[in-house]
Amino acid sequence: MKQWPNGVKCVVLITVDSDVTGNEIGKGLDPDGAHALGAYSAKRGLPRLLDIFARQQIPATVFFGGYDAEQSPELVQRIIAEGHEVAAHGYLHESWDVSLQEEDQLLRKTHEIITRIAGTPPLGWRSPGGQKSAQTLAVLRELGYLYDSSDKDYDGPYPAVVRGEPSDAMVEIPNITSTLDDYYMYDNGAASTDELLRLWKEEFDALYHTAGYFITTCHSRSGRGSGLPARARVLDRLIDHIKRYPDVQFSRLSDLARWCLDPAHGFMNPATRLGGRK
Amino acid sequence: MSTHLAASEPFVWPEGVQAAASVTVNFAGESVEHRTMDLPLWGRNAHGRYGAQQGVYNLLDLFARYSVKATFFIGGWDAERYPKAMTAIDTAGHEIAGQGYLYEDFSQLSPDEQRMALELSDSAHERVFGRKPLGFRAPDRLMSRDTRALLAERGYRYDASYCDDDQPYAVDFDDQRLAELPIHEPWIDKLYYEKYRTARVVTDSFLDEFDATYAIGGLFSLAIHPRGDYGSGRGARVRALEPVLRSFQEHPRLWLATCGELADWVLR
Repeated sequence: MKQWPNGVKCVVLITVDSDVTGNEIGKGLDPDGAHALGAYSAKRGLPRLLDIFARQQIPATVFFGGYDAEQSPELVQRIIAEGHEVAAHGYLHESWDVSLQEEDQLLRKTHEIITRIAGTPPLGWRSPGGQKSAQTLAVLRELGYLYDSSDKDYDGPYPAVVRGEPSDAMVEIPNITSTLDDYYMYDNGAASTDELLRLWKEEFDALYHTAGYFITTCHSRSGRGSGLPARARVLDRLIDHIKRYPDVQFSRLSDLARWCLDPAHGFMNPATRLGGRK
Repeated sequence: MSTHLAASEPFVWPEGVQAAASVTVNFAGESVEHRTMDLPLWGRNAHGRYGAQQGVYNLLDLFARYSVKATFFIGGWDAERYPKAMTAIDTAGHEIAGQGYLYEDFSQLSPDEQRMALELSDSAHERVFGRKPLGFRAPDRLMSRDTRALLAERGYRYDASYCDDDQPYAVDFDDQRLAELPIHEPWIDKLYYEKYRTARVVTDSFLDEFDATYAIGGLFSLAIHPRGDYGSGRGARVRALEPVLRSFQEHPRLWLATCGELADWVLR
């Protein structure tokens, strides 16, 4: 028997990877011309999505790179002030392998930056390119993180695997490739807004009736993301659509992680937990 | 020039205008192929030639039917290679702007190399059209942090390559001011056709992107190519633009302007 916070039928997790100019700086590209996609995120895309979340009165989780947080502290603070969560997303969007020593330094550096700017430590992390090392989650756990949202391997949260063992203090909250706005759709798929809205509605309906777990990852950049006016409107319409379903709860990832970690819910107990790792 | 991350001031359009749009054409003739291959360019490598000897005329006919004045971004090498097409564009009253010399990737050039490409382009435009271009869009919008300063230095009035705002804005250099007219990926035909999408998808996307940009009072810049591969110069792809041009006409508070006219407004 499935259990969710407040006994709802489906949890809905709206996440935004803010991806400002750090993505290009990290690759050695000038963030100019066609590579100014990230500047749009800070100037227009992210403020537009935050306006939508405010009007819809839903909480969201926004992933920020350390470099980007340093460049746009007022945006980080606005996200916190409006009741959303800021989580960590690399320093310069390192979507490549880094040495273990460098990785350790970058995780700590970004953690310090976000903590200082947001006034509260980040509780979650998402790998910029989806990869992790054997030590990533151990370092994050040591820093007090409650969840990772990098893996794409299950239709629901499960106890994160830290140093090879299921953790009793950290949760994996998978993000799903098929509900990304960019990878299959706006980016490689060159999808129209209609196509993404239809896909999102179909995915939501299927997951509402099965896993009870819907997570979407949006990007607030120009071009491949949901920051432009027509694309932000698609996300707005998805939220309208989801709200028509009964027993749905929009949640920040940290709130879901805390619920999972609460011993009263038995989630972290291998014998009784929801799902269970295959 | 550091990148600005703060939003611009709310933009003011002329009296009675709710939003603006421009129709821009990236000419991208055989210069695209010639950069990496030796002439002559036969067979499947003739997509740029299709644009120059057929696609551009199809687009000019379309613009005439809808009374659209467009802005054509044309590299210097292409301008000299296709005198007949250049005359057709110019005499139809469209704006002609620059796009480098031989479709260079400006993001990979040093400032001096960029100056050289702009010099070659400017002098080719002078020979072909009798005047230098006042506006610029980098080939594939690829440019370095120095490019806009170099444009200002040469007396250009605007760039139309960045994707960092919903509205035009001004960039100040030492004693020069340059207008930026932003353009976004989903407003460019190439981004769909090179990923094997159909004309129907392009129409749907352009219509919705325009509708939402109009609603927020921004600038919508349609960007198309006459080319045979990823362009809009042929058959159903030309027709795919008609609903968009009709939608422009159905918005009475839309200012459909050339890039030069928009730059004049920004720099007024």
